[in-house]
Amino acid sequence: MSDLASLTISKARDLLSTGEVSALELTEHYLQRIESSRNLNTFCFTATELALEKAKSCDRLMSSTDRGKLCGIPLAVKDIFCTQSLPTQAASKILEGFVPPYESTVTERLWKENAVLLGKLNMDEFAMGSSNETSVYGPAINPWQDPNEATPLSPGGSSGGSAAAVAADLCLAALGTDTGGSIRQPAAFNGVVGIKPTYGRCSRWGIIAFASSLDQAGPITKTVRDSAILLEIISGHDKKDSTSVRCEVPNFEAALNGDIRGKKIGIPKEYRIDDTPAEIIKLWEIGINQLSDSGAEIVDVSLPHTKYSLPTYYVLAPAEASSNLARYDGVKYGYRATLKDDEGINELYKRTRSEGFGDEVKRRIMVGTYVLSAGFYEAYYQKALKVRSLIKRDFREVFSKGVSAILTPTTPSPAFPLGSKNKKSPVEMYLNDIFTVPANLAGLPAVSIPTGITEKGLPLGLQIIGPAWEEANVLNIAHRLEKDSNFRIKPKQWWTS
Amino acid sequence: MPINSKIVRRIGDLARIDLSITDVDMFSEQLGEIVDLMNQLDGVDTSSVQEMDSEIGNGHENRPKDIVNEGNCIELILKNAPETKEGFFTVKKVIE
Repeated sequence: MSDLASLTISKARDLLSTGEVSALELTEHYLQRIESSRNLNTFCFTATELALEKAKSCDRLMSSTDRGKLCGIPLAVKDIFCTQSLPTQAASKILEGFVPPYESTVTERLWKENAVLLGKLNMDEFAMGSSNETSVYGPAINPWQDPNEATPLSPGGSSGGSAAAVAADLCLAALGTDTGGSIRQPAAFNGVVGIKPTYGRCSRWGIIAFASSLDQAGPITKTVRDSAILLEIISGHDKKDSTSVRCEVPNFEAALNGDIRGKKIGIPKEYRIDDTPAEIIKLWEIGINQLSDSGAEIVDVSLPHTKYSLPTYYVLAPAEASSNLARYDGVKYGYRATLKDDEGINELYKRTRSEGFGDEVKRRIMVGTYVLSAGFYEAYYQKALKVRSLIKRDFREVFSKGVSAILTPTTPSPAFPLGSKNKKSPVEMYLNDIFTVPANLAGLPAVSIPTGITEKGLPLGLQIIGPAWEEANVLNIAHRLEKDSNFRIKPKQWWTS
Repeated sequence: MPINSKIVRRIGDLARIDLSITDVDMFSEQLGEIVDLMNQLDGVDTSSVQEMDSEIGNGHENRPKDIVNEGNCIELILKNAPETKEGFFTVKKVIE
């Protein structure tokens, strides 16, 4: 029997279909790994009984032709996806005790294909953060270690638990969400693959909202092939989400032929920012050469409004968040503050929100409230919407000249130690999103794949951004780069108890 | 306009968030820093640009009519409420 922990979805699928491994064996194996890896703090809820029952039913189905594309595949999902009858808190105290009466569309699509849910994964509170440190459960820990650093590393965020769990082989793959880089940055920090699809490719129904015009769900996996498999299943129009688009979902896995000859790959000069470490620039150059050697045509491109992406994002995302999070009032669900006898409804709202939200969430709600308030709406919110148009136009112009995709680094640094960013300066943390935010603002698909390591042995990722609805093309280029870079290093397993 | 404690208290009121004196000091400084970041947008000429208010252009033009086709699940909805009575959410008395 091959090592169950190192399986990918595609390999596990083969072993399950030939009967070399049973769904129950696989699920038990991962449940044991989750149990012995508690100090990584990746899972905030483990669905042990449910997973075992599901695995048994998958084994009964295994000989059937309509068993489902993911029959018996153990997966885990970020705590932001509503899972019917299972706790869902978006890592926030304010959703303490919330058990959704319905299932998110994307997770429902996984269970329809008979995937096995192992549990819910840690994240930044309401997906607001780039380090996992804003979680009410405490941060998930990156399985990679810096040999010169006693403090554990951040897994990134907000889908840090998802990426760390995949990197530590605690599930075959996971789902995350990405509003400004929350799939791609943790994927890069943990040496795994993560894709944010085109806005509208996947339904947002049942995903706890952060910034509705930017949020998208996507897979975090060990290989590009696995991302292709999962993305195809979770994609497609959903009448419950009016922003999901009715367009054909290609067979993403079939598109992975690795042939990129003649494709034009754009290298944007604006991503060469001054403070980027030399090893990231070097990794980028290696990636460029590998794509060129595989037959792609490398062209310099310009995205002139790139430097305004971060300020635009930090106006629009908090504005939308302040509106979305107005629903948490201590009345309908979740946490409710205890009041004194002489206190009324206003105190209920204010105290509940004050005690239920963490500092980063409060900060973003307040920024959003400020930019939407009378006197500031035009100067900030409306202005940011206009700059967003320009950012989108930059990409459109590049792609209209025949460029198939754009290659950039995913992050401006490798994973950093937990607690190392200045808590007093939120903007220092926001700078982590500098390379990932533009794709969200323009609604474009973007994938991060691990292609190298730093001198200290930490993984680094490259990002491929494509035109809207061109995930098949983006994944195929990623597949090529995955083969060429041959990234096979795994973190040393120091964490098991 | 610089962010001062008066503005922070006002935003806290609008956002229905109670702020302690320490919170007001912390958020005054941090919001100031974030507003400085946002002010970088002043460097862009947007006089001839239309604001982007949705993902229109990526195929989102045809929105379906918003028709209610599920409902009548009061019990299910109230299950998550901190306090309920006779099929309603309950809060402290609002009208004297």
